[in-house]
Amino acid sequence: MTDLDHEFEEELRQGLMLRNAPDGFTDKVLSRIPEHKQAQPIRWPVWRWATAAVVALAILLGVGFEKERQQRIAGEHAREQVLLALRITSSTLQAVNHKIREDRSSKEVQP
Amino acid sequence: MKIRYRTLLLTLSLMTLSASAQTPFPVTLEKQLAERAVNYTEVSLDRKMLEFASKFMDKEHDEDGRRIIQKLNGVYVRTYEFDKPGQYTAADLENIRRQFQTQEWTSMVRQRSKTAEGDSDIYMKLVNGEVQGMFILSAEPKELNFVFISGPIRPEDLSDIRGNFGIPQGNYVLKAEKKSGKEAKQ
Repeated sequence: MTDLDHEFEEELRQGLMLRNAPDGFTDKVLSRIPEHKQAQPIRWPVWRWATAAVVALAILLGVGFEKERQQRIAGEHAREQVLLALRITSSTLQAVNHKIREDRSSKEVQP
Repeated sequence: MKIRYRTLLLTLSLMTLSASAQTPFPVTLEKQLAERAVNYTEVSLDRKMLEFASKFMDKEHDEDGRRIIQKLNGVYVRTYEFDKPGQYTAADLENIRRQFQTQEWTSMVRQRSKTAEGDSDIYMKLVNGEVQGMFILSAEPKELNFVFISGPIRPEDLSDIRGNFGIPQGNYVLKAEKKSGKEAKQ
């Protein structure tokens, strides 16, 4: 190994040696960062929040009203069917009653 | 002229019924009769549907109806109108009646005609002396009606049904949700 190699190796060792940062280094670095570049929370303007809330409320109310409307339609339909069933029951009972009476009266007429 | 109505589906059957509450309509010849009929009406209301409907029975004159259906398990109605006599046989009616010839059911009305086209039957289901069901069969030459009511029926209910809901015969389908025989065949 030549002297030149030794010299290079020594320089390399010196260069890679771990050294502590000088006092105040961190503060210096931080002070150089411009204030406006520091991270800031993203803020939505109030009117946007208000609009989103109103839209959400409108959707919820709309869904609720529609559900209630459909329920009422189905209920009215069911009610009509109940009444129809009762009317048919009534008329069937009356028809049976009528036939029995007719049958009885025809038997009474016969000698 | 035969009047054929466009149909609205009348059968409201609930899918999620518990087995205990479910009382299927006992007439087994529904499809065959519907195929032969010019018009037919089917109303199927099980317990849940009756409960649901009763919530909306808040109009004038609804009170009696609501009271009657309150405790019922189901109301099933079938009416068939034929364009000519002979569309059903005595054997058809006997098949239907046979389902009610059990210990639970009692024949209250039994009227027979020569051709079976004037027969009438009323069967009551009696449990511990109380009426728990009713089946009415009314046959005419060109018409056949069945009513099956499942659940407790009090005498005053029957009186209300006969009275308050009684309107001139044949007019009960004013708002009719009728089906024509052709639709049944499809």
